[in-house]
Amino acid sequence: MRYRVFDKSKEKSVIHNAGNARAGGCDVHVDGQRRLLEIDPRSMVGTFVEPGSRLERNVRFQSLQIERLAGEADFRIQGECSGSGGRWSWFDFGAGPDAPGQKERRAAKKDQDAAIRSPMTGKVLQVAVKKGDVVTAGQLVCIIEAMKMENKIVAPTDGVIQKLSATAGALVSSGDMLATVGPKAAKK
Amino acid sequence: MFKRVLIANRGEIALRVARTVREMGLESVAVYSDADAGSMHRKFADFAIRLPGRTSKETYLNIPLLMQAIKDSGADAVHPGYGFLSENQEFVQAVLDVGVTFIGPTPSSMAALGDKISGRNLMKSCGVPVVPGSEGALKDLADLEKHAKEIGFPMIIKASGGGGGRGMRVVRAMNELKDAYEVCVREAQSYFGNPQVFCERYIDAPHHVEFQVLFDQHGNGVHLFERDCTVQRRHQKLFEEAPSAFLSHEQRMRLGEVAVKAGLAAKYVGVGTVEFICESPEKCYFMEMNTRIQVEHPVTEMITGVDLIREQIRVAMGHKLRFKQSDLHIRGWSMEARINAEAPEKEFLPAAGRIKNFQAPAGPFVRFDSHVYAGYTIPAEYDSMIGKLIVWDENRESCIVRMQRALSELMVDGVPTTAKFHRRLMEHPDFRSLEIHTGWLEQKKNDLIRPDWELGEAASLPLDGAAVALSMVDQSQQDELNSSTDAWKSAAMLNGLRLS
Repeated sequence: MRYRVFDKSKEKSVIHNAGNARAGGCDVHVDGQRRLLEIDPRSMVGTFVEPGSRLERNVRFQSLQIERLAGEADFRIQGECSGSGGRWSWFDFGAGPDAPGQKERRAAKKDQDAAIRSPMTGKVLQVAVKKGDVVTAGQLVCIIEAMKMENKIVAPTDGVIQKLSATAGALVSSGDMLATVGPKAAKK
Repeated sequence: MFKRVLIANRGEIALRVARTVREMGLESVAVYSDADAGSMHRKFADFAIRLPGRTSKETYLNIPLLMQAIKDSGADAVHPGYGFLSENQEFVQAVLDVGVTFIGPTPSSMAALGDKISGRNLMKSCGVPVVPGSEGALKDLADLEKHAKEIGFPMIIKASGGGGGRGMRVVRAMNELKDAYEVCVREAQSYFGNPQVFCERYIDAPHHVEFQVLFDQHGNGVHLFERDCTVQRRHQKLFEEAPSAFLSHEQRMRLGEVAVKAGLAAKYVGVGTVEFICESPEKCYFMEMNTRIQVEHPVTEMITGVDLIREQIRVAMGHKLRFKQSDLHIRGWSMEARINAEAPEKEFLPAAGRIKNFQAPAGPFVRFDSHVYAGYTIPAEYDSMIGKLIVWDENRESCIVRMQRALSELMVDGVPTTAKFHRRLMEHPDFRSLEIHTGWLEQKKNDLIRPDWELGEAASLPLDGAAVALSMVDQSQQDELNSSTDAWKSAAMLNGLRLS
């Protein structure tokens, strides 16, 4: 399992493999409070040290996505974790109201072209759109075959296909750009 | 009813308990010493608290420090595991005094059964056969001499508060009595803080059979049959199996019944083990009772289908037992090999150090209870056990084959282990035909331990038992193997050599 985590000491992102004995640490917001989260890459366990307490709280991550928030040493961490009784819960650390720059970033994102990225490593079986096509949210863009399954990739929003990198028969990795969807108004 | 369980232990048992705690929907709190900062139990639990210090005395045996950890963690129950403070009445009382549940017996029944002399007397009054002996603490040397004349030789002098094979002396002649008595009293005082000793007949070449018992708070009790722990080295168990092929079913049910009767008489609550020493299948004598979960409990879980930790926690919550004696049955056979970081060829010398590469056995009916991983450093401060390999199969013969298969899958690179010893044990005709006793290993050491294992380790071979394969390799190939630092590469080469 691979996940991205920001190395606080080096202020840059590093890729960790489970089994790679390097620890990462970052500040996140939990219930509006800033907390240090240490991640043990081997066990995929994140540990919060409660302020003023000796109690370390362990969170077992099943999936993990770490995003650095603009301009600060703060991070937003989303994923799934398991708790007692085999309960699973979705967590979103760092989405506190005071997370600086976050709102601006999200607003800026809206005006940009929306990228459609491959959610998996696999093979493009079929491309259902052409450059310049007008698409509606949910419309089929392409089909990617991975692990004996066909997966439909659909447009995230209404708009026009601005760039199209996916070609039938091509092998793609997780995160590869397939196409971008731009606002209709921008085209006209 | 409690919600948050602090596990006052370390290593594999802390992890074992935390797993069941999680399944029950409860929260777990781990405690860890500085030497255990990288141990798996710390990260596995829902919460963790550091115990500053490295030695057992500073950390896992430090009652005030643990009481503070219980307070800081908000735990409302404590599981003691085995060893450390699991049979310490002072700790149990301290836990109860702050209104926290202790998952185990009350201090009074712990005292009544855990102490060797009072335990023996209680067992005797309930019809449990006991070894002929002094019926209590010895007053002085003259008292011992009087008993020696009645009991005869060989006899054994034991510390009343002892355990784990420490604080006992075997005496084979009258002129050895004085020295043995004095040493034993001195050891009893320094190791266990209690100078009382007693004596009993020493049974040469016995089997060690023990019964698992379980009691609730409502006067119900069952036994979950027996385990055979005859393979021992200086009173330390190395290998256990269940059931015991040594006992007849009638004897099994009779001993189990009296063990339950004695537990009920002591108002015992929780899990416990009644240990017997057997001269013959018909002549089994009570030895001692352990008032905690034991290392070898998984073999009982495998043959009965009962999660003993779960039942232990349930009865501590005040629930009634979920089954009667008639609901329990033995299904198949189970064996446990203790994987210790020890060099069998060097008198089982423990070896701390870093595990460079590690692969746990898996596959059908194989369980590996362990806290180690590749990159883990075995601390020198605690015992050398790094895992327990447990297998199940339908009968003893097929169970041996399965154990051999599982042992061959285990790979520990960086420290020697007892796995190679267990492989030879599985092949030994005496073990297969059950012609063994607790002193057997010491007698058959040369059959079970190859001196050239050391050669294999000196050459820093990645695989356990690789030395067996090495003996077939000529010197030039051996040099080539020695120069290889890549564990996987060497493993592949050895496999190739085995095939050719």
